[in-house]
Amino acid sequence: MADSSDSFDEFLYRAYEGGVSEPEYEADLADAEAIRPELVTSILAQARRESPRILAERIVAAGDRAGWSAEDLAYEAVNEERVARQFLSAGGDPRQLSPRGFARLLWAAGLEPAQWRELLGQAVAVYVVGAGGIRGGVVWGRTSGLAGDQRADALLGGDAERDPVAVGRVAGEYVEEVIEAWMSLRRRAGGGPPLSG
Amino acid sequence: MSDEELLDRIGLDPNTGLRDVMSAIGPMLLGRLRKHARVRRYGDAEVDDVFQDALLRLLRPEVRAEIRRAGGEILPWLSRWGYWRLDDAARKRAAEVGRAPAPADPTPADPPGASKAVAAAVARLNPRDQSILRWRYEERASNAEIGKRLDISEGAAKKAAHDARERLRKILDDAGIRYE
Repeated sequence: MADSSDSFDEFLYRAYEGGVSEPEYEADLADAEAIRPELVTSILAQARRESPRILAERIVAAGDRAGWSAEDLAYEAVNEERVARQFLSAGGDPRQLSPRGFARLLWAAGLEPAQWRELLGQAVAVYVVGAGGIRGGVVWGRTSGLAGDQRADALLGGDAERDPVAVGRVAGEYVEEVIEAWMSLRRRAGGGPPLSG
Repeated sequence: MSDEELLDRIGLDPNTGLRDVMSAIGPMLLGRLRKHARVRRYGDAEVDDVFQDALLRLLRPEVRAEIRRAGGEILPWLSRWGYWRLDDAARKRAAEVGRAPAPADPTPADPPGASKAVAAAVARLNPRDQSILRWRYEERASNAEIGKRLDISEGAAKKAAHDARERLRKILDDAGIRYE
């Protein structure tokens, strides 16, 4: 007698053979709705925090799988333990850590460059100010004397002349340095994975 | 700017990229989510939050990769994800106040009925699970093929397919669909 998994699989194969249609939604025909400026500001402010937060979360989770606590990982960033601890718990600009310090965190967590390269670039990019940067007397990141939307725009990089390619290039330089430091750690370890905690 | 360029831009500079996505598809997405919540009588309370969460998902490289593999269109993908989130939140609210329907008496599903029942149940899964099940049971994709499409290992794909199937099974069980 087939077990219940087999019979369920057979049921699903038969159902899909008969044609399981994609769901249709009345809402796909909805009219556009203007987005409130406060909602835009809230989303962009959250977006600024999100990439470093996801990266920190992944490093901590990978470290945990390898048997390292966040405190153990921070300890690996020799002479930068306090900043490393802060990044792992609260995110922020990865460049507060030297490329070597950041590489040591990633190495200890057992993460390969393919797993963090893009996210690290994003996490740095949200903190890049000035790449393409002065428009109408507003300098990105400088908020003194500004209020409301102007302050949000200055914090978030304004709305027009921030050049994503230039920002990506600045972020990419830090990422490449981290990769180089990570490769150096790997070479020193003879190509093998870091020791488990 | 094409959707592909918007996805690339988020990878380069999330601030500008997300702002451009909001400008390009935000009003359509918000309108769709609002309508979905109203059609299903969920109220407006969670629409803004789901809208925000949907856009922030674009900051995850693996989500952008998934959108590219699904054809590269951002609005349909985020709409499906947002509908699912609104439906899921409503189900959880109903369960909390004890309004979840009791499991029905098991009903054997005849072949056309099976397809309909599965379609209704699949619509309650998140878009990722929906894709995985379609690849597995319609295209008969192996774990290795599913892993390749999701950019995950074969082992992770096996687990993802198993989890998706079990979530579908629970929905069918709760609906009283008998499949033995």
